[in-house]
Amino acid sequence: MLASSGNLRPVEPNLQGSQPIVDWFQKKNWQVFDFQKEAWQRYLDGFSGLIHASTGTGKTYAIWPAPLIEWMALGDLTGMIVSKKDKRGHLPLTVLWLTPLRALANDIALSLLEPVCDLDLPFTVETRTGDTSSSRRAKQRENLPSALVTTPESLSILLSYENSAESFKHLKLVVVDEWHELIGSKRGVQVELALARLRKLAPDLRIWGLSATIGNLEQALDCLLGDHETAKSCLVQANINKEVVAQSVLPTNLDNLPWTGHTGLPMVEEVIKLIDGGRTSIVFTNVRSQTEQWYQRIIEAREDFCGVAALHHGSLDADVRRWVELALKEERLKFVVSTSSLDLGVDFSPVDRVVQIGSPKGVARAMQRAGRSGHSPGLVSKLYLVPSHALELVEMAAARIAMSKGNVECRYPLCNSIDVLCQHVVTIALGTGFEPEDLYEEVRSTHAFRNLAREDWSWILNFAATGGAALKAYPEHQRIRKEGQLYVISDATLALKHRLSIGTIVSDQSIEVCFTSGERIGQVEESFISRLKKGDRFIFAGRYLELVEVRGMKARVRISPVKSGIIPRWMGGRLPLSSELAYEVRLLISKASVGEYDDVEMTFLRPLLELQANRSSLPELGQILVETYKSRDGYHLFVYPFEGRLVNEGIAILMAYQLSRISPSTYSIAMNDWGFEILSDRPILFGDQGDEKNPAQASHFFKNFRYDNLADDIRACLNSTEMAKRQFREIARVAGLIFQGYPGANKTVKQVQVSSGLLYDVFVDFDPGNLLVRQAHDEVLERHLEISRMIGALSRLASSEIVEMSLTKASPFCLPLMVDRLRGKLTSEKLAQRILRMQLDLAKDMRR
Amino acid sequence: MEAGRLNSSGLTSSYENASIEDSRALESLFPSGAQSVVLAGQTVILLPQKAMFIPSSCTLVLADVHIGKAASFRSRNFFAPDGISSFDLKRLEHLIKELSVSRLIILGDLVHAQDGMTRAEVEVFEHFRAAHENLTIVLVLGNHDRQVQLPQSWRLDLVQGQMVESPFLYSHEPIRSKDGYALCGHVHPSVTLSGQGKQRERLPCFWLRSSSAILPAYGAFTGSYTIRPSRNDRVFVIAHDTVVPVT
Repeated sequence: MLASSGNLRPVEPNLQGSQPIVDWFQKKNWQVFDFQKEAWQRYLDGFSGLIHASTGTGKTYAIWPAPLIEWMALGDLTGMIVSKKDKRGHLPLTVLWLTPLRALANDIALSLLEPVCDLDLPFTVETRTGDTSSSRRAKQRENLPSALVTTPESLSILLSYENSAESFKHLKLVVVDEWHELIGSKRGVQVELALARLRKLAPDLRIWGLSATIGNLEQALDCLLGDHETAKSCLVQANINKEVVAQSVLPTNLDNLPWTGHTGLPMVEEVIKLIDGGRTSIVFTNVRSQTEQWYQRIIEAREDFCGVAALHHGSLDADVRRWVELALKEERLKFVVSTSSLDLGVDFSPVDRVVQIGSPKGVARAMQRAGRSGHSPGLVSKLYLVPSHALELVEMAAARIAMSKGNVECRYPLCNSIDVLCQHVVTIALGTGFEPEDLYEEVRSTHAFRNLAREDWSWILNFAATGGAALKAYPEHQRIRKEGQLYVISDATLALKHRLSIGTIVSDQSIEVCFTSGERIGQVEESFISRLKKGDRFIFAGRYLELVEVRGMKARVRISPVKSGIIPRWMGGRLPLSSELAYEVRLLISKASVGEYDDVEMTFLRPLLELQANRSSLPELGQILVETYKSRDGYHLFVYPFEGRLVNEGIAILMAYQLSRISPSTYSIAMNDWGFEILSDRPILFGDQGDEKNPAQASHFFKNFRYDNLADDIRACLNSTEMAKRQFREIARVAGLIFQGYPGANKTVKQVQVSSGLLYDVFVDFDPGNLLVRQAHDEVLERHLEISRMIGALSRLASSEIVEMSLTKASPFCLPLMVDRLRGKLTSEKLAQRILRMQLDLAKDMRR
Repeated sequence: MEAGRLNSSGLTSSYENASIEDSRALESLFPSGAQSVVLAGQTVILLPQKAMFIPSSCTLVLADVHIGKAASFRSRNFFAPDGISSFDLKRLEHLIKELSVSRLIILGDLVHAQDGMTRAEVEVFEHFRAAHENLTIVLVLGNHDRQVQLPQSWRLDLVQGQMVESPFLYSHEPIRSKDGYALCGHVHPSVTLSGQGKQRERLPCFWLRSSSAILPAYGAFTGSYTIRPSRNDRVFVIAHDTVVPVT
């Protein structure tokens, strides 16, 4: 990937012109790192690239000085804007800085301003995000700053303005900050499309990404630059390694840890000790409701923490979050309980330790969170891992081992996200308008759409122009139309609606929570509030609140004198265990099976693992453990592939599907990161052979499991599962099928609200050729079920020895699956037959 | 799990005793998957097409068609596929022919909203009307209908409030009345069923109570509301092509 230096032509300017910047670094008492110099030189040589550096190692200044040096060398004043107010002119939009977190935009802008002010350069720096005031935005429509810090969504909005070609033509540098966070998501695809557009509008453009460690940096670079001259691209390595010390926290006694559960609250005493022992701590949890629970419990146990404790999660009001971030920075807090909302960004230098509740599930995530402590070059990051149930300690040992090996996960870029492209097409029609052939080429220059078929392109154009495959299908909804050679927006009134819909983050309809005085606290999902009555109590933002009234999209509350209440649950995916960690877990279990308990966590867990060996078995590498069990609930089959919950779910569905073809049956499916459960109300038939007395064994079924036609099999059961329906909701929203309403609109959009399941059903029945339905299936296959990982897992399954155990008592491995209430379903029975064995859910008072 | 086990014996037998002979006779005549029950002394047929047939007066009763709902969504820039209204009316034509229906009673919410009354949607119903010249169509106005200008060309007999026709009373919203056993819509009822092996299923249903019967929503593009029936209610769920008693 690195171009050989022989190809470099001698270009002016070179680093000779960097002296003022180097001097400036010296004045600040900072060292200029080699990787920073390398990036500046590459930029000046006309290269695009990716800078790999962990946080807190100076990556902002790895690229920002480059365009300043270039300007100082060339003194190019083309497009100079002289405003009437101040007589000093400033350069037109030269640098665009994209950040995934709008909360970071201001901090970044301040960093960018420092050298500009100190060296008195004609650069202005501004931000533009969803938080920017409308008056500022209006000014920016007239007059953009020399450097703009913005988000992917705000960039798309800028591209939807008619003057976008003019605005971006002097652009020299786009920086995509935290590219590792964007790649692998639809926002990443959105960025790819925007970059393709910018490459076209600004011929002199160089694109630079900043990324923390991921397993596939080369691919991340390709994906960022798209169909780009590879001789002009490079990967710059910072080679500054951050020292991380990770440690699992063990309770005094194994019996203090439950076998199942995810709150981790039994460990509250240990966590308080950790907080006491440090200067400032961040306590990370994996979900928002857990954050509320933990904050409450710690405060209740230690009243002296009141006033120096805070919590932080994505549903809190932005002002509240900003206050917490500032207090953390200024060392006014002893600890903050947080979700991933504090994973990224702001430099919290007082933080000297990080406590992770529950398994971090991935190496990258563990390192990212650990890196929030000791956030300056030279300092050590400290990570404490607190288990929420006993077996999680195995994952923690695995995380420590994988971190020391440096096995970081890959982030795979998405391809062919039709929904994002549908949105982009309308955005461009709204902006400059487009010729279909030109835009097709432009879109195909991205990594995401490099293989976009012409017929799919036509479908998308047709979809945006007429609403659907059948020309007359959506007469009322035509968003773009042809005017001469160009496609443009069909109706100016659509412009506002489209701009409001730009983006790929789909959230549930949420209700704003505020005090009767009007002070805002945050948002909760509508479905949660709708279950509450006036006077009901709940815990939110660390306070006991009482619902006063719900009016429109606002819930008014007051502080409740009674200290009890329920905690809202926010929807949100649970992250699957990564392959890297899963492999380490298998290795640890395998070692335990032959009596090797080397790590502290494993030694501690030994009695539990020996119980598993007693009641069932501990699988070695090369073995797959299968358990059968009969309980009050029915007949259970447990299988442990250790592949993360998504892949396990996929395998479970396939198994259930093939089982259901042996005899008409209905299965309920539960899964976790270690394995899955297939539950039936009647004995599971594993094959045709065998009779009542001597039925076919599960291992017989695995031997005959068909590994060919997997994709077909999965497709066959997709329609019968909820997964495609869930996925369709997001796709429909991104593609513009669902308009979520104007912000601040007083009423819910109830009248046009419909469950995504119903919408999916009518689409499948009435418009089966719709590419978005196909995409829902593809996304379930690729993203949700991680089909490539699944195929790998299945081939491992095929070559493994099946260890089949019939349980008389539930094993430690199977218990968490048995109690999991989040379940899938697969059936091959006639519905009318099946419900004969079911009972009606009666009114509550009628139950007994 | 045990608590919910009140099905089988006591409750269903009352229904079986009352109509077992009738139902045998009728089942040979009527579509497969249907169930007959006696309401207020009259035998009626619950159809898996989410409608009710009263043989004595050759009347087909249904509720909540919501014609033009998809069109209304589209006119608010919210996609929904086309062809749902004509699908619903085709199913209806089929029923009318098969059961020789002479009168159709719609228990409200035939249409969804004014902005869904596009030319195409109006015509779909006009074609249906033209194909059934002699059919009487009674519409007991529902909350949605009252917001809409109903086309003359549809030739509907409109009823405000309730229509009494002993032993029945037809109403959109569920009511309790001395004037008759109420047949109603509006609720879009469905129930959840649960069983061994942690199975759960949510299905649309006919909800038969002591003084009223609530029909499932007929339209294909309609959601449903989960009811919690009480012990004395009878519930018949629609399991694809079959009506199944579940109490």
